[in-house]
Amino acid sequence: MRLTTAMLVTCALIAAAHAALADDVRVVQRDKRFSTARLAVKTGDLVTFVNSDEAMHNVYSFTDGFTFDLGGQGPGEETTVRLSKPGVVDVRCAIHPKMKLQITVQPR
Amino acid sequence: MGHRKILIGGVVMLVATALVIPAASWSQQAQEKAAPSLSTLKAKYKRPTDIPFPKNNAYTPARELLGRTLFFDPRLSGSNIMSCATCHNPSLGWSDGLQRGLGHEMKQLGRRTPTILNLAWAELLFWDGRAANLEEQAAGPMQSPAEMNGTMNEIVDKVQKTPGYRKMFEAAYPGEGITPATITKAIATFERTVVSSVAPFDYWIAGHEDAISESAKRGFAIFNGKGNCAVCHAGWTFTDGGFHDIGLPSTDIGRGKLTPAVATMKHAFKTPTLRNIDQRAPYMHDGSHTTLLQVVNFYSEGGAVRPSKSKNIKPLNLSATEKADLVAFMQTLTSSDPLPALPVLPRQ
Repeated sequence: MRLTTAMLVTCALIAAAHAALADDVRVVQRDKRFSTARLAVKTGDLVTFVNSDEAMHNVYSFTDGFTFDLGGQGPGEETTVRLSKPGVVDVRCAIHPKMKLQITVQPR
Repeated sequence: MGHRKILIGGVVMLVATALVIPAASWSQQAQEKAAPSLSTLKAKYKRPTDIPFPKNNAYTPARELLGRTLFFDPRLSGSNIMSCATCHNPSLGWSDGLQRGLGHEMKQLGRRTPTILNLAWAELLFWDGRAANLEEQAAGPMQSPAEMNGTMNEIVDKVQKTPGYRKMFEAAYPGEGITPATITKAIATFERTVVSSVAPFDYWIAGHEDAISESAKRGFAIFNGKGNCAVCHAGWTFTDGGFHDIGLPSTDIGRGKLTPAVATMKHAFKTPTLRNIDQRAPYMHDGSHTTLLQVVNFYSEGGAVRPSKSKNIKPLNLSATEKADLVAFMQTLTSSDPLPALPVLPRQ
């Protein structure tokens, strides 16, 4: 029992340390473009998409193992995704097909 | 990406391990930006000087001629009586003037025939964006049982048996032969050359104040302001090339069928260009509106309320004068485009 409790505490400390290490990387959407075409982040990092356009956006990815849909994002709104394993993620705007971003998630 | 100067009427234009975090509210700063000046707005509509062509299908006159010939050749259909130009008729704004297209054996299709105007700048083709590029798009209708009802094997066979075509393919794609790839690449090359000419609006953008009426100038301000039209009908082609649910009542879910995992794509269709728009009635993907004023009325009311509808579409409550001004503005986007020379089709 004592060992189990110790393990749980250790795991919680590791998770907390991990979260503390994680960064929040911001990508701006302006003039129907992502502010960068390529991005490198570490495992566990947050990527926040900031809509600085008057147009609506919808960030998503269909990359195997990383699929997500951040939904409709109105002007001034921001959406966030946490990327929790290494890999290369192709990110698109469902509304504006020319908006493309590739995120490389590196091990921490 | 290669380029070709735009020649119009002989004149060079100078002119899930991913964890999704819920959306959060952001600063109001973005919404409180000062309205752009008229000169800033005008700059967003300046025409390009070149047509972009992909590196793997660069422009040559031989490719354009071959593509134009194939485009008008009804032997590309299973029935031998339907060409690309049957529906994309240059005399009808590269569309057909019908509410919805007519396909094989004159059966009505599900959507209105889109124009092929200014597609060199487009990415993802068809109303629902199911083709990645023009080459891929060109292969679609030819082989669709509902449309031209051909098979690629039959089409290649018919073209190969035509000596005149053998020479044209060798001139256009030396050593590549007559294949599905060279057929669609040639058609795509021709389609990229179909570009709208200089319209009264372009002269106004270039500084000729008398080129458009005062009503049209007010319409331009509404288009970019209260109407919020420019958020989707953006840039000199007047399309963002994007996909939006505008709230048009319909059982057709458009791009939603291809991307069911993305909720906003249900009922979403590609934004059509507004260039030469008053030559292409009826309007909308289903041809449900017969006049531009009806279209403006629809947007003024704001469309159906449903979860997938774009956040950019809201009731506008436009006055009768504002609606008339918007229509007057859109009419300034029409140019006198030279019709393409009809090709003499090679015979077997």
